[in-house]
Amino acid sequence: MKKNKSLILNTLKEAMIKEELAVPLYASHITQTLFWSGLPEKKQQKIIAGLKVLEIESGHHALAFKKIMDTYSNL
Amino acid sequence: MNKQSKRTVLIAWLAGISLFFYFIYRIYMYSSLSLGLVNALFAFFLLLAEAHSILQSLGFISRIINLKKISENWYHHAPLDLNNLPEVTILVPARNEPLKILETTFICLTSINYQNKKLYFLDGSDPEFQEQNASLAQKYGFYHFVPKQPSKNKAEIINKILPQINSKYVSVFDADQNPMPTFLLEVVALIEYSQKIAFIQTPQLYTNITASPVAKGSALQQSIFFENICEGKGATNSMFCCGTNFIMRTDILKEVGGFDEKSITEDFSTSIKIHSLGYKSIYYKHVRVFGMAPETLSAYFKQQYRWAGGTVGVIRKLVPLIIQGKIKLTLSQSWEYLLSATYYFTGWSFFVLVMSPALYLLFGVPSYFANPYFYLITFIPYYILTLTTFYATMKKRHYKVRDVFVGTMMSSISFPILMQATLSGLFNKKMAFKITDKGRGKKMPWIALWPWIIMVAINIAALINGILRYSENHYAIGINMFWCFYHLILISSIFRLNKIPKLYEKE
Repeated sequence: MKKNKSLILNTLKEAMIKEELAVPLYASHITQTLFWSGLPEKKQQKIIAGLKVLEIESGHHALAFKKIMDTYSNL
Repeated sequence: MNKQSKRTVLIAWLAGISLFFYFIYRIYMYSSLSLGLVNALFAFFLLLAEAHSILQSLGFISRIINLKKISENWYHHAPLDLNNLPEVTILVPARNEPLKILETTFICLTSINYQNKKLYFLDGSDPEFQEQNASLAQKYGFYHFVPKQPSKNKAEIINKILPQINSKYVSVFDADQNPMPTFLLEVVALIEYSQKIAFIQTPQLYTNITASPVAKGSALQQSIFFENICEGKGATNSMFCCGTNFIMRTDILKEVGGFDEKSITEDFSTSIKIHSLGYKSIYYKHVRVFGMAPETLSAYFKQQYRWAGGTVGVIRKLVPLIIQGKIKLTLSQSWEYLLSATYYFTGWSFFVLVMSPALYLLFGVPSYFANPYFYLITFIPYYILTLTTFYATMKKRHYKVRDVFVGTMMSSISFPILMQATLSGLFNKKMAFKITDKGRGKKMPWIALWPWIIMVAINIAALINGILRYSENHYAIGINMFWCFYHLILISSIFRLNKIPKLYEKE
């Protein structure tokens, strides 16, 4: 049971890192290199807007993961 | 092949033919001249410089022609059992890197979707950095390896950990390289296809292009290399390992005795050994890793100095081994390694090509001049077709002419650095392994820019003298003035590039 608990907590921590930290990082890399894509300016702007939405939502997901972790670790 | 690609290949063939005729004409012209000692010497150096440019252009053209072999069918993927993936050890060698840059890389490496991976941070930092590095490594689940004796270079620190690695594959990332989550699943599927595949190299794409003009310029220069040049090398099983963003079979790395510690371009020298044993390399052309370009001129020059000196140093060591038959490469591999190893002499050829018109305008040497008619029918087609091939291939990949010019400009202004580095490499002058500065912004002091200031002054003086002498010979003086003006623009761009990156302007 203990082993399972730490495994779940680790998985949650990993998921949180991905949501909170990795998504904004990749979003920033992609935003900065889009000019190389050859896509029309309008499409580039649309993708950048989409990435921003993803970033904001990832922030919410990370908070949700943190709540679950806090609750679960206190059980 | 689509219509645009066919057209590019046709232009490349025409460029190759025109290049051949121009070179024949230059050899004929040189051998038929009877010159005094000074003129003969200048004519010889000019011929050498042009021969080097022609060799590199020929290399570029041959790669464009080879590109037609590569399509998506070129890559063979082995099916992967996601519940039984081969183990991969990820190595991040680093020395005194800013914590923020390390953390970014650790986040991305942790995020790689691959169940059977081990993460190692090879810390060659000074003791004052190690404590904070250790806690960062722990936070992200990295094994923090600190060698007992300080390591002089990347090869040495990797070789120290190598005996402890039992994974089937190792994958190496520099501290500023951020792979995407699918990286391992894609490259493992490729390398699993055949046991003869020793390594898979993937491109580097710099994303900090807004940080400074240097960062943008070196990103463009890097893209030219990782697109046409590497793809061409990949088509002939000649792609060498670039030291980061690759996966390699651990047993083959051990078989060649680890990375070559005597070379500061250990990746280049080790690749020759691997190819010599008959193993294959694959260049996977899709960008799966984002990285950081040097942001200041001094950082950029340090990087260029290291690559040039190290690559040329490899020639000195390997040519005798190739002659003795101890290293066996295929014809295409020998051609590609020759092109890469001699590329950095471009600093010398650029210097001679810049000095020649200026010296003619100032002192009248070299005094000979090509017959205008022959010059027109040999040089002009060669020059225009080679440039057209270059720009056409880059345009196909959505680059603007201006961007490609910026990339070329970055190569040109490095000439004093490349000249010094190639000499160090050739004569085995000890070169310290210098890490490219990242995240630190410093301008180069004016005094350090003396080689460029002198060249700018020479070209301005030559142009003034050209204006004064113009009536003597419109044709000869006009053409030399054109080249002087062009070189002046190229070289003086260094003053625009020598800026503090935006992030550090207030410091």
